[in-house]
Amino acid sequence: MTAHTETQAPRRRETWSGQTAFLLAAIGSAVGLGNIWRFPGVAYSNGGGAFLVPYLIALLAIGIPVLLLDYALGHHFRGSPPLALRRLTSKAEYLGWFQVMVCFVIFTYYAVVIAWAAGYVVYSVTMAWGSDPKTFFLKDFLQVTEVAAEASLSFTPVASVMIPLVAIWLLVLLIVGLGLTAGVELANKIFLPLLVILFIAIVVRALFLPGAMEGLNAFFTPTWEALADPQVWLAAFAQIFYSLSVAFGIMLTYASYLKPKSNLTGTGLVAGFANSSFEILAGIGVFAALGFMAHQEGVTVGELEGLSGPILSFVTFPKIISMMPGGPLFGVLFFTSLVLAGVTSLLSLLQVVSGGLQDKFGFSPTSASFIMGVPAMGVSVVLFGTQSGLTTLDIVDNFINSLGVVICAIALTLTAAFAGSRLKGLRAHLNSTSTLSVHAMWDVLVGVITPAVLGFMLFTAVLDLIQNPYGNGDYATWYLNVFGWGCVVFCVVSAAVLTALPWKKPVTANAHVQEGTD
Amino acid sequence: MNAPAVVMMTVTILLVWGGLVASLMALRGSSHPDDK
Repeated sequence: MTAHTETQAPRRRETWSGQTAFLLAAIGSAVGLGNIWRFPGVAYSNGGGAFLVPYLIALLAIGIPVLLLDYALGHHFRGSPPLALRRLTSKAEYLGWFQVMVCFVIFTYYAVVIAWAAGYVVYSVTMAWGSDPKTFFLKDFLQVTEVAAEASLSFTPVASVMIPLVAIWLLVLLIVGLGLTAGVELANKIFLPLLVILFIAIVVRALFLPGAMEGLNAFFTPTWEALADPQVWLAAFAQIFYSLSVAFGIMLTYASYLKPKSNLTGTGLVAGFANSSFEILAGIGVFAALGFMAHQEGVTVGELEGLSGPILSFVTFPKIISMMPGGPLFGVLFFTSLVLAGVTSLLSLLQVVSGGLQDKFGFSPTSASFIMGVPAMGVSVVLFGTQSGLTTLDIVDNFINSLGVVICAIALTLTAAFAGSRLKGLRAHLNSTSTLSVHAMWDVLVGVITPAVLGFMLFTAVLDLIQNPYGNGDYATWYLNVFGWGCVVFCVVSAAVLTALPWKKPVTANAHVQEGTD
Repeated sequence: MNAPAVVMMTVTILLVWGGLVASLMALRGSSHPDDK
């Protein structure tokens, strides 16, 4: 690797207490809201059981290989994205800060969705949504007005969102502020096992509902013709990419806290398969419940609406909860699961930003938590805790995911392929610390196949956004420009500013040989 | 459940959950000093 600087004042870098702690955090990060509300709907609408074929190929061809790239970079260069990538090559520090800012944008609205779920835990007790969950969600809970729906920015606060939102922010900032082992690690050790137990209880309950088997029929019956459709393959690769949270700083940051002689490939395989295992479990639970709903309404599962995304969770599921015996308990379990899945993923997003601030400016975890937390909570509350919050969230989420995250991943894979000792050196690092060896084919999967697939995804996304402005005309052009394209520009500019600021301590290359220091 | 759905569910569970179990077993067999 190229030596870029110079001198160093060693300081201890926090590490996970062990492999299990890292695995729980990594799985907690990967298992998020998308596993529960995105995967089942995507699989169902892209060939049902046949979707498994491109899905597994995507997991093995892109998901796990890029996950291992993150592990190799974080562990080899022992730093958050800006530090690790600067150690790879000084020109790549900007990419690290771009990843940090993408995470910053994502967690400002991700916390809001967790706050919605937290609110619904309480509403489940009395099934407060009554007979019309959609009206309750949009009008009573989010207080979306007709004006807001047409995309006029509103700063009118919504108390039902604000209160849980502030509580969620205080909780996660406290956890991150406590540091890696006393905060993030301990939280994941509690939250992830609890999530798995709760979700297994939900799935078992759903499987015993009348009509559940019809739901599973809909979910698993293969439509083999779908495999001839390139869009189905693209959907599978996108699902794996977004679900595993790879290539935009999260897994790289978490791996930077692993002890020097950690088994990288072994933990990568476990994290990848654990994430997919939870998605399959979610698919079974969600479609068993949808089968029950179809049975109650005397229709087929295919005739149901709202099978994916927030509408599945906050409109369709409340309907199901109202129909079933013991619905309030089921509702509490379901929405608590959403909160737990969301919080463990949110913590990993926060750790990327916190780690970047600690590495570059020498802040303590507590200071970094405060410095990023105050503006983040402010943005979160002002933009997403208001009557226009749903509109803003929908736009920001679409643009930052379809553009920001994909740009991060393409740039990361190409940088790794062409900078420093290239993928060959990173593969050698993986193999030097792991029991399962990585084959040379990994270089091709990470350096050629992944950027090619993601490049096509980015090209089609940009083309689509230009030709058909997001929202099919529901959103004003200025709103899309400010909050859609604007959030991407914000990441570009703020990353440049952070790159230009001086490091508190000079950065050394070859940090991996100085165990436990940064 | 219809037969194709049962087959796909079984294959899915065997491959994905089986993959998880196999990778966990492989990890348990590793002997790095920092693994514990």
